[in-house]
Amino acid sequence: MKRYHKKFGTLNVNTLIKLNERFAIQKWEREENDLFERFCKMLSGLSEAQQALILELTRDFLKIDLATYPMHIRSALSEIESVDFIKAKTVFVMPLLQPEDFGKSKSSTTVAYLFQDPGTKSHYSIVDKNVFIIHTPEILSRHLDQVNNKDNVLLLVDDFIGTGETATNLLNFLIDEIGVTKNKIVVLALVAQEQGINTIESFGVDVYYSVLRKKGITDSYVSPTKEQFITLMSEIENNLKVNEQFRLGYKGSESLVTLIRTPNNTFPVFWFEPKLKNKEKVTAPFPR
Amino acid sequence: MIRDKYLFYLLHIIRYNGSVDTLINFGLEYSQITNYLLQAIDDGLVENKEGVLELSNLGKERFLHLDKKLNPNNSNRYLLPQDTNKITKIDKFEIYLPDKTKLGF
Repeated sequence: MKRYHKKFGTLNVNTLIKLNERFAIQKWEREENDLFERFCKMLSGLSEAQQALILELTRDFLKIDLATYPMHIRSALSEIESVDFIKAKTVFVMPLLQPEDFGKSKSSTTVAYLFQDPGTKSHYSIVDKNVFIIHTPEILSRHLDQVNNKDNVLLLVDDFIGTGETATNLLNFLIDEIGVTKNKIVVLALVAQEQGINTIESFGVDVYYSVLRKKGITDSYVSPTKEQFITLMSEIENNLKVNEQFRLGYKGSESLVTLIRTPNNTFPVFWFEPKLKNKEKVTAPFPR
Repeated sequence: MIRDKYLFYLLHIIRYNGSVDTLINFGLEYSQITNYLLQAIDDGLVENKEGVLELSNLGKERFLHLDKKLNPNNSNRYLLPQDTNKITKIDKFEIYLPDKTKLGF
């Protein structure tokens, strides 16, 4: 038995104007990476109620471009209150990665690299300190005595902290396998989700960030709207056949964020482009 | 400046069904259609009433004027191709079951 689907989705003039208003409020360029077209194509595959949900969530969608990374790093550095960090003479900067991902090109390696940016180096919190970027655990092992020295700290950096799972794995690895002293470690992120911050702080490690984010639906709306929105989003994800672990974003993170690369913590409707049988290719505004 | 053909369909869409698919099928992009909509609002042809677009009196006049100009045989006045509802051709022995998620009941 075959199922037949409409060849084209439907988009209403009113929806188009509302989306244009959202773009204006967010100061997003319609032409940038074909973003407006991609957004419209995504919306055209949805029902009117689902479209209204996406337009509502788009109000709170955070889009951070690479050009603004240095500004967000400086903003996060300004938040640092850790006494060890303030007193430190040397800061070892290391990308926050899964232990098996060292050596790969990831957004956290970009953040670490930006510590060479003159604007970052001249920030008051580190201008008087030596800053060394450590790219791999092997190099860290070689400098372990210096890192654990009372005058120094290890700064783990990333652009986004979602569930805190990556940080947890890395902290366990650095503390148990490499032998880094726990109170020498400080975490810095451009954007951090509340859930991830709590996870890392439960380790006794301080987290500093430029932007704090809450769950896009659960923490932002009250009942019964919250439940209606979750139901609508689940309908969308059923149609997209989203894998269980990415429902409402990785492990239910409900993020509304895109950076150099969109985190899988963001609701999949914004990044997931499955090839579904008998359907036009699904387009997402911020594909991974 | 919007070409008469596109303006006619744009006003037609706003007046009747609202879906922009007809203009997409002409090869326009969503961004272009949005620009045309904003232009039509600026020109006083369309009014944005709390998020719902409607033709102004001037818009209705322009629509009738364009209709006479572009459709002297009156054939397109009330009907536009509804490509939204096109589906893949079905074999005569095939049993058709619509997608249950798209049913309105």
